Amino acid sequence: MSYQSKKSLYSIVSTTLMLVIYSFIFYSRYQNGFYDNMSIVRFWSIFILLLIPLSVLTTILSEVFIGIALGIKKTLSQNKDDLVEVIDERDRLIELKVSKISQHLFVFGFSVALLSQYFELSLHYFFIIIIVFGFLSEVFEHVLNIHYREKGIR
Amino acid sequence: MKEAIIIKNKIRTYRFLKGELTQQDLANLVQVSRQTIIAIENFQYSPSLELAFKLSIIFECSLDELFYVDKEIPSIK
Repeated sequence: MSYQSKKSLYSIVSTTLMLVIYSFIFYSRYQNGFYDNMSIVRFWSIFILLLIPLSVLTTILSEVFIGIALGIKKTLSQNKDDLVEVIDERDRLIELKVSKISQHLFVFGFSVALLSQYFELSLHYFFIIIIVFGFLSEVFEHVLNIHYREKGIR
Repeated sequence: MKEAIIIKNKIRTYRFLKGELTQQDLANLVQVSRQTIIAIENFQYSPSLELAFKLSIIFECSLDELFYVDKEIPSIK
């Protein structure tokens, strides 16, 4: 498995863990009546507004952690060249293809969320669907990244 | 249905002819990652024209000596 594939795999794990832990903490606070006097829109706005910097922070911490791990591996490894991160045309092609597909998935999720409002479901469904599809599109992006790196891209 | 053309190459042979040039050395020469060279050699990735030319310059051969397709492509008359 290449360095980039390992990086994607690590991103899947860190993103999933972050979202699960964050949702669990937020849900516990919700159960304790912390957000009782709030409207649904305000509640989900707080959830999303806190989620954005948290996911940025997770990405930064992941990069730092991967950088440290790579530094240690480089020091110990015999073949140092193999651990150098080179971004070339194949990487850019994979990135382009993968981000396009994941964007389509998110747009599909957004359409489903809008459909939930058409059928007059609770606003909770609208936000949950958007968050779930946002998460799925990010995971799918990393999975496709690994797939194209291992199986090839044309 | 449109059939995809698989562009094959003789990079492995030319590496051997260049005194068993390693994949990493070749990657450094053309400024790509070793994974990209591996993918090209395994016909999993078709390089850009720029990269193809760089490779042909390094191996001192023409593009059609280095890259080929198994199937015949119908010509425009």
